[in-house]
Amino acid sequence: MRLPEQQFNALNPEEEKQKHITKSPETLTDKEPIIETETSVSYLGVTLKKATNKEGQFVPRREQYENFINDREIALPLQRDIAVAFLNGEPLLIEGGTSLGKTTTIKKMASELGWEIHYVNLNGATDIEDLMGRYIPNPNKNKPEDPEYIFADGKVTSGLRQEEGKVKIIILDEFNAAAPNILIRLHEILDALERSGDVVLSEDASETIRVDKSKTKIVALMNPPGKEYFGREPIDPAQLRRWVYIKLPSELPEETFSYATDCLFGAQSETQNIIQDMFLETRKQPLNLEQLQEIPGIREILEKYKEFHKAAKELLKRRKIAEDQPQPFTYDDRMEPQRVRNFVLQFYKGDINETFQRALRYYYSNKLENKRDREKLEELIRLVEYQPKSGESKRKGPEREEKEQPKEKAETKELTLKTRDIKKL
Amino acid sequence: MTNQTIKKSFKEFIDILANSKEVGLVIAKNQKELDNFSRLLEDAGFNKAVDIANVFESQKTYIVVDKDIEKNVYDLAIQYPTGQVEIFDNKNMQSRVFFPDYHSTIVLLVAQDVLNKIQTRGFNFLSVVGPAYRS
Repeated sequence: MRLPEQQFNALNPEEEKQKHITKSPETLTDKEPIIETETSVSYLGVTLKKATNKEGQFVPRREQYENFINDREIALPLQRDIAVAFLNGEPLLIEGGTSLGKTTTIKKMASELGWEIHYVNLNGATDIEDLMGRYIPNPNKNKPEDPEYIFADGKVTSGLRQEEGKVKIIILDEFNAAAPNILIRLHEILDALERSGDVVLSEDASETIRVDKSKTKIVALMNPPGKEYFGREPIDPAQLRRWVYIKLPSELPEETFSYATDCLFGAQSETQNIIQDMFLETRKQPLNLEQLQEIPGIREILEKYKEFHKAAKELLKRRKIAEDQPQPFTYDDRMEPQRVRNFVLQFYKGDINETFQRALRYYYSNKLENKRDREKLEELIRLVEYQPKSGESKRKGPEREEKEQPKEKAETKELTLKTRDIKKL
Repeated sequence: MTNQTIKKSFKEFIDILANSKEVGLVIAKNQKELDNFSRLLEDAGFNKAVDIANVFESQKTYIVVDKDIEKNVYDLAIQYPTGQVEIFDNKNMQSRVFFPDYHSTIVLLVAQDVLNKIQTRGFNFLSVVGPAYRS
């Protein structure tokens, strides 16, 4: 049997090769934010594999994005966050103003990865069959035995259909302008994708399609409801739970606007200081649950996460955060823990505190637009940590953790107290 | 504005639009002015597209926006700056994808009353187009 330290090292062979260096969030790095190899592209450390079959009209052309500006405030973090959702097979809903380049960013990434884009603008779309397909007269009928009608894919179905070597992104633009019947149908697809099941295409159920979230990625885009965006109604929060919801600013932040404008006028080189903290690192192989349990401190941090989730929900319920966001949402009791777990399995690289806290920023903080709200949540996020006793390493196996139960309870209590304090805000 | 002044300012607008990464919008006060703008566009070498799929067939194209094609034209205008435009033919259930080279010019021509109606239906053309012109 392996010693605890060896068990830990087995999970992190690359980590062991280098000394763990604690870096402050402001540590600058000269790492390239986007690294491309023959087979993959990494967006701030989140690595996606290129398609092996890049043929066909739906793959965006790279030359279209030669002048794309990778600013550090919006474009780079957005690409990283999109890459996380793609990697984890999560449907992603991005809300933000029109000037942020949401669609262009996704198409640019697809051009680098050789992935297909299947674009649907839901504003004014009324016919579900345009999206899901219908029977049409057979254009190739030559013989009497040929069928009179054939089933033709719609815009969404062509994105769902699996083809050897291809990866497809379905963009559902102006999602909150969609007709209710279309939203219901799209949510059926999300459910099918989640369980990698079948989607029934025709009313008589004779046409079905097997879907696979590793081959089809879904991104919904929308402008903030209300405000200057006419006809955009808030989506029912119960429907939002299916999505990983990211709230971007309604307008370009001042720094991004200034930087992008300077770049456009050639007044600044197209590099900004990149902070080490912006990077994530993808594991070559995601952890399994058994390996997850071997991580020192996992039980303590899990308890603290549960406390955090309750506290975050409470803040939201009392409108202590997201008060000014017209699109209501929830922190879902089932979906959020599942997403956080998948994130940890995919991105754990040796520091469970950091990995957990980053997951919470991704799935909780990113739903908040206001900086003040994010700071409030950040206070809670910082409490979700495992503190080894002095002289003990975080790099330990599970055997010795069991002896640390009293410490665990004390830390959980500390979090609860802090949460109460924040509730008073 | 005199006809001469309109001609001059319209020409300036066309020059501005060349190499634009967005489609342009020409708003006519009424049908008479719309016909006049059509002539001016054709004099400037623009071809009229009768269908949205024809828009990419020449270097200079204009299309008259009406309520029958508002959705397709809106989809074109919103996708054009993103480097890839997918147009779906719902009769044959086929997509055609175009890659704007931004050396070509596309103008949407619309009458003010039609634009007003389209905008109230949620198609915010004024937000998704680039340069706009009205006399």
